[in-house]
Amino acid sequence: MLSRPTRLIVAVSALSLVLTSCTASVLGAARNAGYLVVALAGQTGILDPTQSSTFDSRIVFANMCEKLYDVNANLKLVPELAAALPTISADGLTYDIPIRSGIRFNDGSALDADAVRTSLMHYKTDALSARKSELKPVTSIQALNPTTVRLHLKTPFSPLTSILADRSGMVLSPGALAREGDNFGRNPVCVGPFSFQAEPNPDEIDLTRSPFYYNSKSVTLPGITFRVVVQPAVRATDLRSGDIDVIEQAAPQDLTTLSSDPGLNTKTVPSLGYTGIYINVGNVNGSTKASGTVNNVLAKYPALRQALDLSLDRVAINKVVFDGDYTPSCTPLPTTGQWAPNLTCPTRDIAKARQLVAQTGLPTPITIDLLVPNDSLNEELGTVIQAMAKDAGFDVRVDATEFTTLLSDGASGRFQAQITGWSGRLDPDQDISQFYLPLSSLNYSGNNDTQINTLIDEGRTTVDTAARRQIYRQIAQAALAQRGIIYLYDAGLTLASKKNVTGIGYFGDALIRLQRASLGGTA
Amino acid sequence: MTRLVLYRVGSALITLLLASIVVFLAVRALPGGPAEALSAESNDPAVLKAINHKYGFDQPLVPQYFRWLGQAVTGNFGTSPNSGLSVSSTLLNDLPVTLELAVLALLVAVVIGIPAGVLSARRPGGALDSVGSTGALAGLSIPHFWFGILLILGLSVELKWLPAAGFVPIVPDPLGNLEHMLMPAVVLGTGIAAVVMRQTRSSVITAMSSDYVRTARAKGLSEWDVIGHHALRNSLITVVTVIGLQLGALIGGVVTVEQVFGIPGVGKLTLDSVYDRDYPTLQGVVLLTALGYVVTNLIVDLVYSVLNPRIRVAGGAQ
Repeated sequence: MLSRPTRLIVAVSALSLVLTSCTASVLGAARNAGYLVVALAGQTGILDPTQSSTFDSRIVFANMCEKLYDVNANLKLVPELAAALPTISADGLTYDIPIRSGIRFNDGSALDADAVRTSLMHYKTDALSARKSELKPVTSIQALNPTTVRLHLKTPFSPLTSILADRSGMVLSPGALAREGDNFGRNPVCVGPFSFQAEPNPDEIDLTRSPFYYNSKSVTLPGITFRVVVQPAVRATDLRSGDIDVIEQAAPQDLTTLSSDPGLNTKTVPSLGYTGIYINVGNVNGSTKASGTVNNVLAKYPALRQALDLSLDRVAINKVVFDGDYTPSCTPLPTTGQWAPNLTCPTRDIAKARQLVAQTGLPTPITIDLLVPNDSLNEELGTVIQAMAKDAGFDVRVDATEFTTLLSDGASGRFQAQITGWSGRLDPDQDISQFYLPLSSLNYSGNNDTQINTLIDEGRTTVDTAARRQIYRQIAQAALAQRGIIYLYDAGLTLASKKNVTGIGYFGDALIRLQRASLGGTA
Repeated sequence: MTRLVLYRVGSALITLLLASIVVFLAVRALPGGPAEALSAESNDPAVLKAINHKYGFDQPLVPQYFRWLGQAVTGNFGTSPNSGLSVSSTLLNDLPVTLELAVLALLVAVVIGIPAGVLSARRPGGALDSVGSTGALAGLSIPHFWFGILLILGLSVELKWLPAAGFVPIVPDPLGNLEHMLMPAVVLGTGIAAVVMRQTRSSVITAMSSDYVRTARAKGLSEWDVIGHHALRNSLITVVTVIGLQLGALIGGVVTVEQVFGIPGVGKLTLDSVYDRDYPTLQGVVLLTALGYVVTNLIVDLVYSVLNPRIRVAGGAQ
């Protein structure tokens, strides 16, 4: 016979367990049979292309919200919901986009030019739209006939087609849009091989195979479960244990283990984006306010920025921090592909760096407060920069900061230098203009260089790709000379999956396309 | 007894009110806000303004607080600007998962901690005591993250005995549920087991030198009867109190454990809400956690008074 206190403890524990388990059982979600489980590295945020601003939401959208245009394995623009690339008028002010016929949204309704117009207008006018600035040059949108949409621009804007290959080009079901309004993200309806099924909690999204998809024969998976697993080490162990089928953004420190596992496949693509040290050279009151004179020695003495750059060994940083898996870089342009810059990055030159520091006449060490995101890799990166810069006469104080605080400090100008990354876009304008043009919300550095500003405008209004390439190479040279941002590397983005998972489309944009994926034995 | 209950409930309500004010102000003291976190890469000022307006974050703090409190007492914690989901429904989804984990962790703590404490107390300084004390020190010292990864590597990656992550409801799959919750419960429970073990050991050692234990021995009771029915029974009062006080450690622990094991519970939700500056969710989570803490301590107080009538009498006289 149990004593009274023991009985009490046992009874309370058992009752609590039964109650909580039963409630959890009602509300929880089990693994759906046959579904591919994909681990995402970050939260997706709201699943509405209008409001979306996270990279991981783009991975989910890649499987349920098709766009007017997409990219192929060579990162060339190809039509997706559009029937062909747009016909652009000679003055670059009119885009005629042919729309495919016979396409249905995942609620069964038909897609036509009017539906495309409705989506684009929604992106342009909705108060919460994060797409407004992308479509700003578009002044009006017409549905010429059921299969043609015409866009009118106020000025030529060459990046437009590539912008329509991202969220701005996703076509939303007009019916669902009217029904859901701002809550569209809770039940998004687009065109895609999979349709939204449920979001049982903010860390899990289930998609199910769409019966309305125009190419449904190519889809073999019954569905996909996206699960947010932020810690890279946990993603890697979950994959190795078999609980997860696919992971994105495998960390460099896990790559050796993952690559040597006979049950796994890995594929690495160079990121379109970059990571660099943003120097506050003119952000006085916020990135959207006029730039001015900041109390920062790195702003006052351009020679110090050059000295800091010359103190860094990008190749060594890559080897030490990222196991050689990333690509050293010194410009905002991707290191490979048609926009790659034709220049050689500066190498470490401590003698020159010391000389530049001495020229300023400032007493050494020169203190620099460097904000870094508070994850292990970035903290390690900060420490390596600290050690390298010390040789040139800098005392870099590394301050590991939580990411939203980092962004907030960047936007408001409350920083001297910070390490920040950019996920990258297809068109180089989108990797540059927002970070260099005055009053741009992402111009944390407060850059305002007349030459760069002029070249950005030229790049936007020039139609010929070869001419644009030259313009962006000039911008890369100018940015390297100005050093409002000291670019460090382009990350390698590694997808790892179980051997029995085949057919994944994983290109340079690092989105995971699962239309043709299959899970061996269950498909 | 009624007066004691009323007094404790009144104190609990005041604590909750203060907690609501603190959490409301504390989340807003963080740099950046929900709009900045939500807009992330776009960061358009017009969009930031529209987001703040939509969710009422542009209103003065006092009306914001009272509007939130008014809704919260009816169980409506608002809508998450990040996910667009109702905070109440998210909490309703996640809380039972965390509670199940917490209860299992406490069971692990009790199942390991009390017998280990008793065995250690039986021969203080002996071999079992040394093993128990070393184990307790290890349990207290090993970080949850490291221990969790170690268990996953051993039991999931190498041996393939248990799933590494995720959550499966107990109905219709009780075995699957236990498989998923076992490692997290062990990771979370071992730290608390160490505390329970040390407290049990200390209390039992004290009890063993008491007159009533000597009397029990003089009556010819066996050693295990003496320990089980006399020494341990009286020691459990302090052990129960200590278990109640471990709720704080439990709450801190679930944040890490749920991250490691991918459990969609309140701990993970808390951390994500901090990163996302998700004011409504964070406020809801913290207020609910405070409620849980207050209610648990209230229960412990009341259980304590049931176990020890002197407290009931003293409390009633207040």
